[in-house]
Amino acid sequence: MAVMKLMGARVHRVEDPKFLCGRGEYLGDLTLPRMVELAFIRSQHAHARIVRFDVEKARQAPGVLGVWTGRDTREAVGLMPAPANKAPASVFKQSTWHPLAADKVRYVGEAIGVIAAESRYMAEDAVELVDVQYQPLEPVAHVDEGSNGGGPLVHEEWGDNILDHMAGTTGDVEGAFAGAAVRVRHRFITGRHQAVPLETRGVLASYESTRKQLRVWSSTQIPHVLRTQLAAMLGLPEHRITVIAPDVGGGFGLKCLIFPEEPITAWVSMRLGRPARWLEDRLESFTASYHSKEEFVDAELAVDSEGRILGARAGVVADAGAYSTYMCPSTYEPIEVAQMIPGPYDVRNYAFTMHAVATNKPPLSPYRGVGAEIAAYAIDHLIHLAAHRLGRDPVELFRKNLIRDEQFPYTSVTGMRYEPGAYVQCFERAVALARYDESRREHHALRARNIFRGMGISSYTEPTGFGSKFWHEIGVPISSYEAAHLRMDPGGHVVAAVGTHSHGQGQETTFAQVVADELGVPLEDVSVIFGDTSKTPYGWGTWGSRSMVQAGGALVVASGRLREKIIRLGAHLLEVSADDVEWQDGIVAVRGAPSRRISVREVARQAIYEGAALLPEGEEPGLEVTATYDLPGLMFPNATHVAEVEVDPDTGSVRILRYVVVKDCGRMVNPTIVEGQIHGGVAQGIGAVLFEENTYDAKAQPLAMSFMDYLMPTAADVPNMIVEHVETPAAVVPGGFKGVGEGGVVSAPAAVVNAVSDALGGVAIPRYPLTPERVRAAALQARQHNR
Amino acid sequence: MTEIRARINGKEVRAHVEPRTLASDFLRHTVGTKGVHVGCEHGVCGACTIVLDGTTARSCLLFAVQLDGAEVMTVEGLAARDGALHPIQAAFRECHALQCGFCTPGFLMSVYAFLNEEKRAELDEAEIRSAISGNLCRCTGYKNIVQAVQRAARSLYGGA
Repeated sequence: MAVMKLMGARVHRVEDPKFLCGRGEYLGDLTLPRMVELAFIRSQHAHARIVRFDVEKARQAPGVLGVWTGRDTREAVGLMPAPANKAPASVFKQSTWHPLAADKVRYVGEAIGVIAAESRYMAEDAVELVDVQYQPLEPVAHVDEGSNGGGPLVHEEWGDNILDHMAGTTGDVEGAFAGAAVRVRHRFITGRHQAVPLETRGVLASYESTRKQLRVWSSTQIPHVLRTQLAAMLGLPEHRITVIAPDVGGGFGLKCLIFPEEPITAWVSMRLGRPARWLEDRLESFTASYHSKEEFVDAELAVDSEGRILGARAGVVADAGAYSTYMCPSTYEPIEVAQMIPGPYDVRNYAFTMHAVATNKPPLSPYRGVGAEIAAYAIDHLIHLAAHRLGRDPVELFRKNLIRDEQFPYTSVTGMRYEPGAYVQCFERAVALARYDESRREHHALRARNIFRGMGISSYTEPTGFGSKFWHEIGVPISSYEAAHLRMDPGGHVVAAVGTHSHGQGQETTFAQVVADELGVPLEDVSVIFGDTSKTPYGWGTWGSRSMVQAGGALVVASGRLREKIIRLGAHLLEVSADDVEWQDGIVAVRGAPSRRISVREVARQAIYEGAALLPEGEEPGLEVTATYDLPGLMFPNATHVAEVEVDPDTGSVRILRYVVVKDCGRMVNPTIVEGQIHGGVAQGIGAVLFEENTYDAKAQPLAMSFMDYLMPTAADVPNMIVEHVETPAAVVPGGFKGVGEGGVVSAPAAVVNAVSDALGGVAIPRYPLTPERVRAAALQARQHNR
Repeated sequence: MTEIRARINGKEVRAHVEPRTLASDFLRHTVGTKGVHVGCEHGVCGACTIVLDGTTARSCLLFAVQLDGAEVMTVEGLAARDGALHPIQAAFRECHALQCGFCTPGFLMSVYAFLNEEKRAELDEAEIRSAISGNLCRCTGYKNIVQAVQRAARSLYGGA
């Protein structure tokens, strides 16, 4: 009997029906008896000292149960965690970050107080009655001000505004540039933007004093890590805390961090003896949650007359905001930009500097693709511009410089070990699918009719998985292994518990596919649980395209062990030696006598329920297994994106006509879900390159405070993508997975930038988002250049 | 407090509400239709979309008192009483048109009203994209949602 293999099958998601019926349970859907609702009081200044804080009127307001300021919580609630970057080359500085600022505020939106009331309406009314007097300080609104000496300091004790600095050189960079036929240099600027999950953040906490138990529900990607940090901040032993991440309406990295509202909401619950809930509103989400990707990259490329890369240089400066986040520090994004600029290309000479500069804006934090997106923009736009300078088609230069199959495993110029991947195959397939050559010929013909179309290519390889060894080597004191616990019940059904969290990735389905295949049971016989720290093994959550690599790897290992035990027990029940049976997808059969067989279900019934006394000597009863997996470093999936756009030089609008992705993410568990991840990532990359920006004025006041100012890509803006796959299984990972969550976003901005540049005759595009003004400016420059 | 009466998912509802109560809060907290999701509270994201007297409305931009006398449908009214998915819901599942699920109820309401108005089996991509451009999805990149709408239209109006 042929058993359908679930690995690689386009299985419909098991989690869908509840969401389709409106029965998801997100944070805002949870209520507890006697629950109070919170509203935070937030700074209106980017940089100021709090001189007076009068909350008396608010305290008297109807329905108000308590008002607390930073002075009340300063001693009672511990500091926000901030991991040191202990890498030898780093100067990472710790900052003192109170969950509620007490004396000095460092960005508009920073929490300075909290009000608990019988309803959110009442709590917000009371916020209006608070009277805060500030002594404004000169803000650090831009990295240029932050880097200069003598100006205002975000953290006086630092002596400057440099959160972190690193530098590195490999090879003969000076020689490479001296011998170059063409040198291209630009300052690339990427707009500050953010993850914008459709569900904002939220926390519900309930402290039960008689049992000394704290339960916290948070819209988080990292429930276990949050539990550990809450224990430290609240001074509670960790075994008294349960954290539950319920259904989470999107994370994209934003929710893999610890936020001030988490300890404060828990503390209010402990203080009042009542459950307390805070739901972030969209204004808070724009101004008081974390931002990403504001980078200034002075990048330079040297190529020979044939277009071969001789060397590259990059000076990366990040606007890191006021504090460094946990668990991923705010310096990680610029570090990744600097490390990944060589990308999927064979670059042997490279020098970089990295500065993370503190400013009076919300903290910089990892958002899908993190620094890889900005690195791809810098290197791929430079290659594209170098091709135009040489009078060659960009496709030639990209092709010429890609790492070739025979070069794997490849150690990059920044010391990263790239596992084998189909860089060349993905590239050639993407170029063919996009009809690159034909389209470009058509575009030349259209130019005579004042129709400006162009093709843009970007390829990337991206670090994923992030095993503990990676963090150790860059000096960040965290681990990131994953554990999987499998429990088979007497009916032969399996509960798989993991420490990651699914918020759109479909892990209830894909993890069940992995386990069901390994154990030879139907998909519906496997339940996957995650998100509740009291029911799952300690884990590091979902981020960094790591869940299928780390938790999937652990599930493969655990399932294998459980299967081995089932085979041993099956052989015992069949009264033969384990060497004399074979595994036939859920059946243990005597080799050469296939009629003597026993199913997994029967083994489970007999081994757990009926016959623990009959087990072979030395065999433990029960069918429960815990296994861990820890990727030794990083994994590197890759892809090539090709975009075709039409630019209107008069209105500055950009229309994406065609978009192709060919991707190698290793072995795929569910291609439909993989494609969904890519579609979503590409749409976010399109948002980044065309629309999204957390704009600030010269005094660091936020200008983007609603969806009217912060534009999101809609169905009318995102093209109908073509996605294809190449599978090069990861040899070192059990299951062969490489990770796919972030990839879609990485090359989308670079591909669109290159296409817009191509449409305008090869003009440099030094900044995104490509607002109509910026596109018009580029078009004007192109026109002047051609005159 | 003001008394209102409305028909919500086929059931008569009578309630006393504060005049300032948003329709979205009323539906979520008083009526219990928590599939009405609140994503922005300023009428842009579309997660709180309901069908109000046959056309879509943003429940975060309405006060509960404005529902007085109205016929309201939320996502909870879409599936059959026995839990069988409506053809639009089924198409969303078959096309993997949802990931985190937060925007999904709003999309389903917009698509329900759109298909109800068009009543055609064959819809082109551009008109679908236009019809759903008032709902934000951060996960799917919209491609599979467009396909799901096409599939649902064929399923509902394809004959045979």
